Amino acid sequence: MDANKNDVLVIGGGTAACVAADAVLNAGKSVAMVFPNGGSSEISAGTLDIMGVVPGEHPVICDDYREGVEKLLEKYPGHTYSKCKGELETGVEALLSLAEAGEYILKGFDGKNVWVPNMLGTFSVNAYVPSTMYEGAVVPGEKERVLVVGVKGNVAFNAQAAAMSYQQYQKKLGGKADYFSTEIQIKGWGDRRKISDGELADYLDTKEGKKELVSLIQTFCMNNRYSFDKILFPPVLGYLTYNELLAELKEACGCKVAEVAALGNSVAGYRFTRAVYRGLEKKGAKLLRGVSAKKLEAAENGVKVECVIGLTDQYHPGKRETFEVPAVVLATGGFVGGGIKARHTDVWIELLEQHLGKVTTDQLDRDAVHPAGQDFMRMGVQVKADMSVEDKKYNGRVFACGDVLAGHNSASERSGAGIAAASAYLAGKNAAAKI
Amino acid sequence: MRENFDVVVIGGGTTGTGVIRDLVLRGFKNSLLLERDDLAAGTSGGCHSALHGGSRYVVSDIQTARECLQENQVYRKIVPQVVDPTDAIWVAKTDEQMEFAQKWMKNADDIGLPYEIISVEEATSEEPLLTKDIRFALRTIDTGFDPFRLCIAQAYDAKKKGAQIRTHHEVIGALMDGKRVVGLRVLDKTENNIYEVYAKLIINAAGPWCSQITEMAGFAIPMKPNKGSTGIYSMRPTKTLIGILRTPADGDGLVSQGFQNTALLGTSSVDVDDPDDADPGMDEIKIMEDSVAEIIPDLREARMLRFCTGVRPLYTTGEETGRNISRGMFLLDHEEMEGVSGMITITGGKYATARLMAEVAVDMACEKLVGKVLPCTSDKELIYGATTKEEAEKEAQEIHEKYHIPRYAAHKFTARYGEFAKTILEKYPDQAYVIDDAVQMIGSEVCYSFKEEDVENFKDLRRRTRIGMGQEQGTFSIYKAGGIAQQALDMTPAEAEECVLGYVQERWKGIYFAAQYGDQLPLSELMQEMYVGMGSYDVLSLE
Repeated sequence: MDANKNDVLVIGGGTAACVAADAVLNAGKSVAMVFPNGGSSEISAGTLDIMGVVPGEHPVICDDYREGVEKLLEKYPGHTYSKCKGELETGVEALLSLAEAGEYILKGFDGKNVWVPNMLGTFSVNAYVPSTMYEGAVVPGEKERVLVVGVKGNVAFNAQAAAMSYQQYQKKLGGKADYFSTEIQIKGWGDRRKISDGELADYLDTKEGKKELVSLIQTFCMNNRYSFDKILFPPVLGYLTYNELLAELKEACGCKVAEVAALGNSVAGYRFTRAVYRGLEKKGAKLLRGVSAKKLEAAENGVKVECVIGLTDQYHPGKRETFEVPAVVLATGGFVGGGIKARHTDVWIELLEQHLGKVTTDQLDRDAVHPAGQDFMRMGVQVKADMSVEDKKYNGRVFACGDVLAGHNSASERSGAGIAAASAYLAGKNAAAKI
Repeated sequence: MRENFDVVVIGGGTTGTGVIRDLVLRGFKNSLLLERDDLAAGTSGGCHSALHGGSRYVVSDIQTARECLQENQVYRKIVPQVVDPTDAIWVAKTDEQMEFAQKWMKNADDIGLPYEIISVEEATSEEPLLTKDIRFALRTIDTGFDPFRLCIAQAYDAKKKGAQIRTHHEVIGALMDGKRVVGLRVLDKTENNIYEVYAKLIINAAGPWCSQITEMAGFAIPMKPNKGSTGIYSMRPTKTLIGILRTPADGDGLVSQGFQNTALLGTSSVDVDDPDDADPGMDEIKIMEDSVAEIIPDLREARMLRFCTGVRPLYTTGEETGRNISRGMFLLDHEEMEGVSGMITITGGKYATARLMAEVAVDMACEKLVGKVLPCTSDKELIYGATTKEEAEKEAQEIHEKYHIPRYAAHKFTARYGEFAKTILEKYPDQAYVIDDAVQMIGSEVCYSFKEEDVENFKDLRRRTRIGMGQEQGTFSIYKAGGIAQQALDMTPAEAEECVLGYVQERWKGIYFAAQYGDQLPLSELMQEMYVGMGSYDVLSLE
């Protein structure tokens, strides 16, 4: 499978890349995606944040993300959203339906943000969360009894400490729940003291794993004179059959069941990215996995993209191939994703051969968790109103979207997925128009 | 009630803890050590993790080289598990360096420093990242070590044997009786309580802050605080300590930290006015990296985790500055010098010569207290917890089998705690799992250090356990320590938050500089996503 001369080529495999590809398909054009791996979406919490907090000396929590975007733009007029907020709704819709086509159901609260418990013992703000997390959200004013379940040996999530913390942190969000905790011991993987989230998810994908967990919970609920309104689990309920396990657990518990959010554990992020890939493939996108773009060059009425195919190292240089396409969308992510490189006082975007200069003390605050956010997070490529990169040498045929863009701070604003969706939809649409 | 001590030692660095250990060994058990922050929180903790075996100073300062050589052998005997005998390879590339090598070997012969000349082929096959165009190489003894652990071990050795150690207690005034210092006014920083202690003798081992102490007694001493910046790489490009044969200058070498798989680029030398105001110099790091890249070109591919700095307590009565000031030790008898009795100062020196510094200081203390020098045994008595390498290996295997802790982690663990390793796990078996995968630190250590090693917060915890000092800089480990503290140490969520964020903030200090260098921006972004984006500590803080 190759990209051909009538495809828009999307570089990247994360949230923005997928939305850009979808926009091209929706415009009736064909698209190919090249990516070495799932990027930072793969280690994300698998949730969609659009606009959660307007950062500043006195950060403002947004209840309604649409109002939040307006408030943000008042404060930061040059923000990335100023160019692409018109496509926000379409972009988010596109993402939701792609995920749904891959059986990953994202649920939202009709413009309202929701706070879900996480592995640190605090809460994270999102516009949409997967069905596995939906029922865990804080319901302001509701007196609920919530049980937090930990798994012995799964050291990334300490249920007892988390429950104590949820009890305190919910107050600012109006939560009135009572959090309890317990630890269960799963024996199916043998005599091990420590088990990672990934190993646990693998085990819970098996029949035996499911059976063991469900029967443990069933026994716990049956022999307990306390009843709970909600039971929270770490985000490990399988990579593949989590919907099934969730349904079984709900039946066994007779109450709401949810996973907490986690960063870096790969389970939820993996589910999300694979679901979106499935959705895209169903619609006819070409996904060229394990392919990395190495060089962009302007061509007559198009762009030449030199790629390396396959995993490479110093002994295996990989096969080089050059695709010539009418337009390219760059969705390569920020520092973590790899779209922006930084070494030895230099910050640059490799594919654009563009240097973003040095990181200076103006862009870094001495305070690690600063309410106004760290400014280095806003570094990235400058684009025109149509999302094409400003550099003239590409004749307006290279577009950019997502975290590689300059002008937003996804961590402080809780805007990562929203920016990706809005900017990518616009970029994809305009790239498709070049064919 | 008035507190009376034989001796009060000021400073919880390696000199101060060495002094209190020696005092106790010579029978002065009624002694107290006061430290304004935590053990090894100042110069000792900012050290570059090479316990010099003498090779660096062979030409520039032969007396210091001699002392380093002697003391290195002593430490290998009295606290073997903390010392990592990595050895060193010194190389020469230029004519000037070749000439220096000749001088080096002559002096090494004079002081009895063992070395062997090795062929360039042998050197480059042992260390493949060394450039092939070096002209000369020699192998000599040298050691890496954990500067926190050694300092802590000395302190607790004294504590077990009867002395008192008070960390987070700051000396804020001297109690004078005419021209005699009779005691100190102390601020307990945890309780914000000010109290007085009296002592027959005060030993000032406050390092670069020495003059601030003597000023309380009415006179200044000519300290020249001198900053050394280091950069820490995320991996070990070499097995051994690598150095360039030349007069000590910025960027002479790379210290390979075997105990946590990082390497340290060191070390610059810049005079500073205030020892509390010492940021690592960006230019210095650049110069040092350029210099070492001359012999290890691939160093430029390595990622710098963080920059840090320590301030040397250099002392001079002359006009010299920076590298020209001796690294030798100075024992100051203020009765003789300024006519103020009741206080002596021990300063200067190297980490590697701290025990010897303690010995000469306590010799003088003996004379002042009992009129004669009592025999010193600090070079023979094992330091608390000491185990031999073989015993530590054996214990690591047993720990691996009993607690299912990976061998690698168990090995690092026994190297930190020596014979106490097993006890820690026996006491806190519920947390016997690795919580920091980068430095292989075990959850039980959190409980142990809070309960038994006077830890007040997670910054102190880092010095005991090295948590978060590896590649992830605490991003994925420190919240786990917070969880354990809530679960097993009765911390409230607010207290745990303070500890976790205090730690993130402390790590950020070093990352802040590495980020300007560019290397740490991906990790910085991840940290932001973790503690701001997901953790929401910016808006939900319980503070």
